[in-house]
Amino acid sequence: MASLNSQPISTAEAAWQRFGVYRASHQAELLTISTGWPALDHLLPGDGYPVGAVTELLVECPGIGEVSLLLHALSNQLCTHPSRRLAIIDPPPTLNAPALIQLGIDCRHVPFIACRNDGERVWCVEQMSTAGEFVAFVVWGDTLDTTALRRLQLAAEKAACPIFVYRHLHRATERSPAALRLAVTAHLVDGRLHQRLKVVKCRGPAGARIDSLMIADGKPWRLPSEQRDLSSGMRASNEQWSEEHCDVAGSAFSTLGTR
Amino acid sequence: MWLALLFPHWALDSRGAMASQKALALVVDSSLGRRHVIAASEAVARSGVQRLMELADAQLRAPDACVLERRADAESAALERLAGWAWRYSAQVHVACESNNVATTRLVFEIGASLRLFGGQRALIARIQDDLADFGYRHNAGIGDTPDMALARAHAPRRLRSQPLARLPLSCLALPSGTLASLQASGLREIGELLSLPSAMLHKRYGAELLECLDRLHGFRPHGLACYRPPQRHITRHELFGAVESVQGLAFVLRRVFIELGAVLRGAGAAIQTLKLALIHDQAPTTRLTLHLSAPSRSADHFERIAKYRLARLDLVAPVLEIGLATDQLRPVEPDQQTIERDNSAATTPENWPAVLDRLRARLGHDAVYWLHAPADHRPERASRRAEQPTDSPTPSAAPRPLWLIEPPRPAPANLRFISGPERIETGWWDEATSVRRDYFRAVDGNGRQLWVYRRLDDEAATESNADTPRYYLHGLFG
Repeated sequence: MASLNSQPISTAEAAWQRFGVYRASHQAELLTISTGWPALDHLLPGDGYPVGAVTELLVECPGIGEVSLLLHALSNQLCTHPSRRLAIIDPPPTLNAPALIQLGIDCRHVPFIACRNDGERVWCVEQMSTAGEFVAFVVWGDTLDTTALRRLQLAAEKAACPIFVYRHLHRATERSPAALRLAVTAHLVDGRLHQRLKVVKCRGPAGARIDSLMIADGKPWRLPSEQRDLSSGMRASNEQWSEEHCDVAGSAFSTLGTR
Repeated sequence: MWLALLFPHWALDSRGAMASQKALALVVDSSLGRRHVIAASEAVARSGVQRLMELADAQLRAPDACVLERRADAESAALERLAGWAWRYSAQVHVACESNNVATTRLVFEIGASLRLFGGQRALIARIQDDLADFGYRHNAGIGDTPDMALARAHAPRRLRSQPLARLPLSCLALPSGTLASLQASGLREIGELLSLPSAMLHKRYGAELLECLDRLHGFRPHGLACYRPPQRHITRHELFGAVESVQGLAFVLRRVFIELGAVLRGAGAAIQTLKLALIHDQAPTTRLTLHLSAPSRSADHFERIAKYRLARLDLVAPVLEIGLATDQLRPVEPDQQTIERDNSAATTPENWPAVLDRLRARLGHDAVYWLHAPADHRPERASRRAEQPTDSPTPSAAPRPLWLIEPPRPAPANLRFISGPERIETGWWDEATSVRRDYFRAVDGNGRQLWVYRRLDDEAATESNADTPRYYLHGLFG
């Protein structure tokens, strides 16, 4: 039942927060929802997708599993909060109702909204954020600019729920105010399908574990097996990523794309 | 206790309340052969124009005034709407609008039973006055123990209104004009003087009619007024004061229309779900708009916001002269329940979902918001349907279905690697156009996408003879 992985905040901590004092340990109180995959939870700061923030999912090619990755978490949330809704804004082709029901999603709580441009997409998220009672908003908006993403960020704070934005992988090189950026790629290696998930940017101090996960042999989202010395690999990537996230993202990502 | 409201300038106020205060306007009635003024805006009245003055005379005094012809049917329709508003304060409402005597356009209703609800007489009267000021209706009000007494007070000149009934002039009573003239000729001035006369003598000289009138004044006889009943639906037409050419101007006018509609709905304890607007142009055909609300509502603000978003999508083909408004059936609403405890979070109560849904649909179009449901059908293209409201779905079969459906199916890319299949779907034979005879496979393409592809069984015979590879069609993605 415990869907929000937040720790109880002590009175002293509350006092610090009231005076606006930033503390590194603040990260422990990140409000998140579980991704539904223990390995992915372990990887992300606060053990899940951040609530009240924008999460960007950068996809190499639509249809490689990026939606089922997300719906896994959201169907759990919909089951826990039966009165809430999940708004899906501008999905590129039509979603298939039987597949959604098979994932455990009650379609009666999932309104779809078709928009014509980015302005309308952001507008309708803003409108809905005033209504409350949402599990999450899922937006397809490859062309959303920084201003639009900031507005989405504000809407997420207002609605106190996560907003997920699907964009193309080549946007990874652009700056983004999103709190969490995940890249999803898929390759055929020796005739087997390998889906890979990489954290491009995440909130929190340098302690965030930046790593990648993959699906291999049909077992979803594990740490990659080829990385033999796991601890040293993590340390190495920490050093690399703890600087300005956005800028590093571009350079590091080009290597990922070509692999 | 009864409250009587008289509307001396109803012929003008009922048409364009906002405009009547600013503009120079007067309304003339030409039904009696000569044209005389029956209502004037405040500015015109100040320049000396009086009721029943001849038009030529009035135009001498106010040469700039815009002259309007009287429209009796619109007046009575507007009065009917006002009765709907009064229904909010009382269950006994009486309206009357006599076409030959415009001075008697009146609204009489019982307020004694409502005093406690609205916090006493003073508060109730203040509220009613505020409402009427919002509508822009000039009025004379009077309160009395019987409807006739209240009317007599309302007829009285302003300076005498607080006097006891006996001190009011005789002309305040609704007496036949002949009787009134005869009474005045016999030297009677005030009502008290008339009341002190012996009734047997009055009956002998003036007939039973005068006595009946006096009995009604005291409440010795039933008042016999016909009570207003709220209508089943609300259909009105609003004439605009001038042609409105912009959408912004229209929104401004609609605001007044919706305030009135909101008052009627609140009065009737009802809500509506569909609102039809007709924008009537001079020459172009009427523009019709339909606003569907996702939940019954009676809030004028909500209507206004929805209409604003809807109008933003509209291109006005021609200036609008008149607005028609029609609602669906008025349905009773449960009053909003609120907790007795004072809740601090009440200040930031989120708006409810139906209101937001209406706004989305008003701006993006009604079809832009939809829900999916899965009808029981084996044909994949028919197993996922859009609906404009949440719809129940039966439990689908356990066979794997892709998350994305690609409609219409297109030729699949080459270099497929098949994972599982085939799943044969062969149905719909009763319908030639949507008959399905296919073998479905799951496959992976070079980009790492999991595809749902099919092969048509009808093609098979042909491909075998041609010794060609079978053609595959992409119908979905396991995204």
